[in-house]
Amino acid sequence: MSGEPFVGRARVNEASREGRDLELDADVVVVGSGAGGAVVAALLAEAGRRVIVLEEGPNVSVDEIQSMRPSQHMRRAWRDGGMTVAVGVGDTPTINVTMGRAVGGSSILTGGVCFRTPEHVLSTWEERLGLPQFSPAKLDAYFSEVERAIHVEEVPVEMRSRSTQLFAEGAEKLGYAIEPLRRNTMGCNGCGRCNFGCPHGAKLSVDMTYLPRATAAGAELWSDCLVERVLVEGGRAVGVEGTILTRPRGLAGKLGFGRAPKLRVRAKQVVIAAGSYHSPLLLERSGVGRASGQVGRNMTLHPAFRMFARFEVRVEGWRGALQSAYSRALESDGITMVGLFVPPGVLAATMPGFGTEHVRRAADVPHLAVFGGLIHDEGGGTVRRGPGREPIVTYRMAPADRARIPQIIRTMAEVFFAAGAKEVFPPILGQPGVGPDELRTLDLERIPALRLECSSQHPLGSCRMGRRPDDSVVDVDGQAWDVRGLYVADGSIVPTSLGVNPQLTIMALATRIAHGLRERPLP
Amino acid sequence: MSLFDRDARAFAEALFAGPEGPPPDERLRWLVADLADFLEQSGPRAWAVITGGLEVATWLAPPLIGKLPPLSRLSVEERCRALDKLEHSPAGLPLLAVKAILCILYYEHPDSLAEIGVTKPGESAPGCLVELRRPAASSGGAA
Repeated sequence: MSGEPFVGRARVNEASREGRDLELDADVVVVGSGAGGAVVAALLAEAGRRVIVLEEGPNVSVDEIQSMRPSQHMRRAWRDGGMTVAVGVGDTPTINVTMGRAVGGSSILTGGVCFRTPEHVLSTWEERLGLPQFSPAKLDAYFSEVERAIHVEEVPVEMRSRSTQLFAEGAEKLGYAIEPLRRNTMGCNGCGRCNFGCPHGAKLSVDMTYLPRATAAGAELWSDCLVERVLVEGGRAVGVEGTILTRPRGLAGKLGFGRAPKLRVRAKQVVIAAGSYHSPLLLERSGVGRASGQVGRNMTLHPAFRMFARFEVRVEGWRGALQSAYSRALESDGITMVGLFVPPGVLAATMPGFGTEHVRRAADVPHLAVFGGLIHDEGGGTVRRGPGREPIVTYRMAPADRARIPQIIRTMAEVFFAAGAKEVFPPILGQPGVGPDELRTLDLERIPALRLECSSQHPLGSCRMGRRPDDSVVDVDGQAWDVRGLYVADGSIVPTSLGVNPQLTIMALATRIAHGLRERPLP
Repeated sequence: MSLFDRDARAFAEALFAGPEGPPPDERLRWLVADLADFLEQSGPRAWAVITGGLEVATWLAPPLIGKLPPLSRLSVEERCRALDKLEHSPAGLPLLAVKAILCILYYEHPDSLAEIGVTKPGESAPGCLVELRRPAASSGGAA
């Protein structure tokens, strides 16, 4: 592929409208239509394979997004309406983990940020994990292919919001370099709404690129299909089965009252790309990978913390690109600082107080700037089967990662003070704004984990790839060690955290897996 | 009015009460209906998180200021004090979830946005709230 990216709309079959059981047949069935699954589906369909893609969530078109409030997008396209958590164990905050549950997966919720896997991370994979297949030189062609397909471009400085500009001014005074982010956009006008679906079709998430390519090449894409089990015969994957999620998606429907139509797809190869929460759940339910003892373990999250700062001037941080700049000044400490903005309601929500105090602070929203910091974590997440369809996820933060939280908070606060902030609002429940002197006296090292606000957008590693079947779930080609013809191609195979947004890494790894599948004859 | 509606409204009246008292009845009715729609569409886990958080607020906050629950029995001023106490306690986390979702919904209302200065009279909503239109009072999901 060369030149301009293929941008369009995928043909989506809404299984919930069929009102009947579905029995389908394909060469390859792909479970999940996010950054991993969409790439595999497109490349295999273009290679002439008969591909079926099954997506649990609904199809939410750009036309629909244009008439949606942000919260309407959350309730329709975000898993659990944005209320998924990883429960903190020990001295670990409970972490709000946001994921997509719609055609395009989490790619439709990202700010579009694209990083290649940092070289020091790939060195770790090679030296510590024995994975020389993933050197920068060997991955370069895959990254380049993806970057062309989704039009990765640098965010121009003039598109930065005032919020990000202020952080950059403070960072410069303290000697922290700020660099432009790269995003998968084309024709972005900086409306700042990326997390709630791009209303202009300017963010080239996979629903705009790889999925249209897949369906143009003959793939069938089905929404509203919950896959519950991989079918295995004679040690080989031969398909999947599950349930069609009929509308409305209410509690009764979720709890399974009444008989929901069933789904069965026979296929010669099965690719799981349901993300780090649900891929291990599906493998576990199917009895895959149990011998390794690694399914659902080793999950990393990039625990992230936000900092709000109040300025005398109006900031109006919603004007400009949602994410445009970052700093790796603290990279050696395992911290990446990344610019972002959030809607006024979210800003107001995290301000302390009720009644007149809340109303007074909410009136400061136009004066608030925001920046975020994430931890390049060691892991500690575990995904287990829960009583219903969703997993129970716990996360125990490594002591070294826990020790980084005060550093993140302190550094971002100092940067904002250097830029002239009057007070900052650390991510501590009920904590009023603090000035520079109060910040110095705030004992951040002793803030209980229960009082820390923490979020994650990057769950990774719960079905990690590796060299040996006793310490990993899939091999370096993404194939399950114990079931032939079963592949995993999403963030769950990433063997360590990255310290940066993982979208591009997931897509490059999926590209590599798809290239491998293209070369193998079908059984 | 269901118990859920009663408790959600009691919480919202306190959270958004300014010097002149709680927000207009029309806006609160819209907010509670929109919350119900949000939970209906978001699935059982969201429903459990918000309902659980609301129960914590309804029953645990009043005793913190020496009052009997439920929260709706208290004056707005008392509710604010009780919820503020709860926010600073170890039970503050479930409270955050309720507060967050109510704020996200409430500040999508054009009048709420104008009141906190995000929009000026006659100005349209910012890009991050593109295509925001005045919600219908009787319909939670309509925008």
